[in-house]
Amino acid sequence: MNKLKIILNGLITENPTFVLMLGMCPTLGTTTSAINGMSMGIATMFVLICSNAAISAVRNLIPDKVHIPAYVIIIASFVTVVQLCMEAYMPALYATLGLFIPLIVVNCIVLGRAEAFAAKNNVFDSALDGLGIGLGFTIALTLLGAVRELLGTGKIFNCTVYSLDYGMILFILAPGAFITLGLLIAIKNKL
Amino acid sequence: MSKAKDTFWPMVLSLVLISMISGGVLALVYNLTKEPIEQSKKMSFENSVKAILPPFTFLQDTIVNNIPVIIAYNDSDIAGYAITAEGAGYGGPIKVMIGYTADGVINDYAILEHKETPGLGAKAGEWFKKTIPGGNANTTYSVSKDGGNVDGITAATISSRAFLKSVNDANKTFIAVTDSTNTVHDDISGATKTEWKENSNE
Amino acid sequence: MVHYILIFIAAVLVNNIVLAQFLGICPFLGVSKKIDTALGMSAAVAFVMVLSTICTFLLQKYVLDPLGLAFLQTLAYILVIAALVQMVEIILKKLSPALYGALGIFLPLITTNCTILGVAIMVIQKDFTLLESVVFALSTAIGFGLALTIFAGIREQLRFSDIPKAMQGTPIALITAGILAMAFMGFGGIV
Repeated sequence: MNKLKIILNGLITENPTFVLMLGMCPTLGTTTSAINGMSMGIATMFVLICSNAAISAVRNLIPDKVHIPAYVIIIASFVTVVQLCMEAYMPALYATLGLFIPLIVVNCIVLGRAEAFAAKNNVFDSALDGLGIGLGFTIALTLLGAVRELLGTGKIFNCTVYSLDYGMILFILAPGAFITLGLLIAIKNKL
Repeated sequence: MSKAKDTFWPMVLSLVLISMISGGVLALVYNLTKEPIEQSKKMSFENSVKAILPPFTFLQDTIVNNIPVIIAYNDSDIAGYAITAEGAGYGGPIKVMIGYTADGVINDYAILEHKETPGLGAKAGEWFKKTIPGGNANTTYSVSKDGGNVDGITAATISSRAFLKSVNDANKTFIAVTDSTNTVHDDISGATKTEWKENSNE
Repeated sequence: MVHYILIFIAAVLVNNIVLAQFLGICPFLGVSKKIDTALGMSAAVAFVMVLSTICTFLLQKYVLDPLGLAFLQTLAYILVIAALVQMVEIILKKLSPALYGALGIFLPLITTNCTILGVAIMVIQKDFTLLESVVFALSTAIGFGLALTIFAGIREQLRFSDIPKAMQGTPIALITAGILAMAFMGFGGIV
């Protein structure tokens, strides 16, 4: 029951996008379609789970004064692993997400969860927290991507809903990212 | 487990250890992914070459006027050419590869790199499939808005111009390539040689 | 010379780092409530961005590339940037207390500002020379400052507007940013 709570906390109570509003750069930059948003979310989730678990495992071996650099090294290593694997096995996706993959390092969510959760809890719980927050992030990005893709191109996950000719291209361009996220947060506030 | 102390040596030691482990893991992953990365890069380029050229048995790279050209052979005959060219698009350079048959008909094209607006200029990959393939290397293309012969992408004239400019550049390269291969033929057959002379006298 | 002017215009207006490339959204939303703080943040970012781009550029060309360690890029860059920010903070404190007073509070925030790491990686991807990189870094920082300052100016006015409850705070800020991004799209195609 307690374990479920950890996951739900990341999904809903502390949803990184809609509640904490962290990691906005990839949220806006990679959500031109549902697939892209979801991929970015999953890549971030992988880093979150691994870095949370690793940091939790070594948390007592690291002196307090150097804990931030140590955490950053660990996070950067996992990010590079994701980067290399993606370039090798999913080159098309890697080309689309581009710069935002190495930039997971400076995503405030990852270091934030390391500090706020992994540094104080055991390995399994930390990994679960990574999963919960990662899922929350993935769902938010997928939702944003889906809305933008639907309004912009008339498709969801590449399945045509209505003709591209009626698509409002604005939504897959830069301004659309800001406006869609703003509206989604407003809707969440209203609920 | 007691918490590590905030003194000099534990701090240095823990950071050095973490860096070493990270470095080691990354080196390992790098070595594992090196092959697939190179392969996938090669594959995607080869796939575009294959897609735009008529059937061929092997390829040969040459350089004409400092532009890399791929010549496709069908056993000993030339089957076609793949030529890359670039134009300045709306969001950055558009890099295009054009495939020609041996007698100068555009077979197909592929966009290798672009930063055009999704939904507008980025449609170039599909849009010109109706008009450009089947065209001739001697034709100079321009957008109908500029009084030319090709319908540009709606609301993306800059991208269309950049695309057609790169097609024209590739055409020029094609003519240069076939000319240079003709001059090679000169040494073998007298007929082409006289033809070449007639042309140069004009 | 024209070449450098083009890099400048492209980085400031056409491919504005915040409004077109979605980097540095966190400080863009976080420290844009007053024009004064926006200007301070912009100056600090410009300072660190130019310095860090020079450092990471030299690191890439003279250490990582010759040794075949390009895969350590993300890890090495983030450590260099973090160390650099710390050093700048210490040196400024000693040498120029006035400047430190103005920029000091922003410096710790800059390590996790993804524009810094983003620009450092971008100049390598774009295959710039050192001089081009410096021009690009400075122009990007000016673009960041421009977007941040304009946005802060709008937000100062926004406080006096009557905004529906659900839209208050981040949602209206995001939508404003969207409209600003639309305005910046007008610069598209001039380079």
